[in-house]
Amino acid sequence: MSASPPPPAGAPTPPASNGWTIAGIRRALESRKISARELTQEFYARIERENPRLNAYLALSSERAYAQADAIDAKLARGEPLPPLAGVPAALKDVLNTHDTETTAGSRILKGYVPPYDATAIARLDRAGAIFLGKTNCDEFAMGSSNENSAFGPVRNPVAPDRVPGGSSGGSAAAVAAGLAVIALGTDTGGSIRQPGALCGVPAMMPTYGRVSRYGLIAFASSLDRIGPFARTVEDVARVMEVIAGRDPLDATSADHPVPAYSAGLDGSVKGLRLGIPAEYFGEGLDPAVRQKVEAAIARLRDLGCIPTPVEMRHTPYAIPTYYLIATAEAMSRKIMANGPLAVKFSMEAVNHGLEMTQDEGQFLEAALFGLCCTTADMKEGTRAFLEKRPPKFAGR
Amino acid sequence: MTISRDDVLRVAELANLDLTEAEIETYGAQLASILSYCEKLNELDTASVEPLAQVLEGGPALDKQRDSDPAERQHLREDTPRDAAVIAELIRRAPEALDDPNPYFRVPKVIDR
Repeated sequence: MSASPPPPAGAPTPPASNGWTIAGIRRALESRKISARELTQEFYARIERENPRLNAYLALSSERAYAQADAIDAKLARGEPLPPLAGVPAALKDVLNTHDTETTAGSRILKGYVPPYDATAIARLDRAGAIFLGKTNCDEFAMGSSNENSAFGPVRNPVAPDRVPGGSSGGSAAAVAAGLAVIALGTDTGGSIRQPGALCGVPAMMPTYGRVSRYGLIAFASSLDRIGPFARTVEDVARVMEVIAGRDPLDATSADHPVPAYSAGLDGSVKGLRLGIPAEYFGEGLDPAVRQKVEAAIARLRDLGCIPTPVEMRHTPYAIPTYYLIATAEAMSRKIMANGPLAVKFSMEAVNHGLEMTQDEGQFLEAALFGLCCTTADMKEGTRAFLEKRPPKFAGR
Repeated sequence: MTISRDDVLRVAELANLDLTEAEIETYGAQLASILSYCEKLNELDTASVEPLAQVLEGGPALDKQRDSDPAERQHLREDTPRDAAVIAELIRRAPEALDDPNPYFRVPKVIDR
């Protein structure tokens, strides 16, 4: 869209993009203007220059990146067709497992952990010809909204380095915004793709639950976690989605729905489309400058023939309390094995008593452990009721 | 919702935290305010809402399988053993691992009481 108004005087200006897009890279490779190796070198030079200031990358995977680049250059030399993301420099949030590249989730607990496998989304990018520059900084275990909560220091917003980039996928958003990657993957549990995308001014997308496999993702809250792309253009977001979306037998929650060619739908008109405007989203806490931008975008869409239509989403005020309950309870149960004295104590007691657990009992144990950590009378009562209704049937050895 | 001093101390004990008197006050008030916020959910009557175990239940692609095996509807794969070579590889990469007789991790002792 070309009609966005010029930024007000004194507003921070984003750093100049280095202009690469997925389609642009393909043209440059096919016309031999640049090799995948040269492109990779160009990005590493930029990272070396800019990353000390931004702290967007935690680890660089240059060995793998150059091997991936050389594989693309070899395909070109043999005249073979290029895969969809051939030679595209990618930044990967550090909660995603990457084969032989340190993966810490922004936490010192995992410092030194080098996974022996790729997450499914990562493996799909690899097969599609992307080049893995490195792992991006994030709030510890993806828990945060500003990227100040990383054990390895905050990420700075490339648009205005005295400001936060948003979080928890702040490193991925900043890497794309600063031209330190063409595409990036992030994860979103309660805003962690959408919010840093907005704060860094780059297109980003949180896909529908089930659209992208989470196999190999270090989980935060499995009922909410989603993996999605950042890029410089909406088209590139669509092209990454075409690669990472789809059923994966290794993630039972991945949806068995066909993956459409998202990028083929970008040139159509918005004429006659109805655009829902939930009144509840324009309430308390909305920054006047943000409101003005959103309203300008609505006006622009109306000019293009779109039909803005007020809608009611009456349950909106309950969304955040619901999120707090689900996210914290699931985080607790997922992290239980890594999470310190209570869990260790409990499992030691279980072992001491020679207990064997079925899956059902395991789920019971999760619920009971969560209940133990809740201290209010109501929640204790709830746990007790749960215990009485479903007594544990531990099988002694 | 109120949180007693004992509640705060119990949480601190479980989390292995030593709190000052001032922190007991502060955290107690913060815990109470978070719980009061979540109490807002009690305004909703969910008696007639079916519990949801899995978001994908009944998704469009599954409609045609509605009468088929329930296990299939829930996207469960066949219960057949698969190669789990990644486990040995994971343990091998740990800072400290032993074989006795099966491979396992060694971790620093974290409980001192």
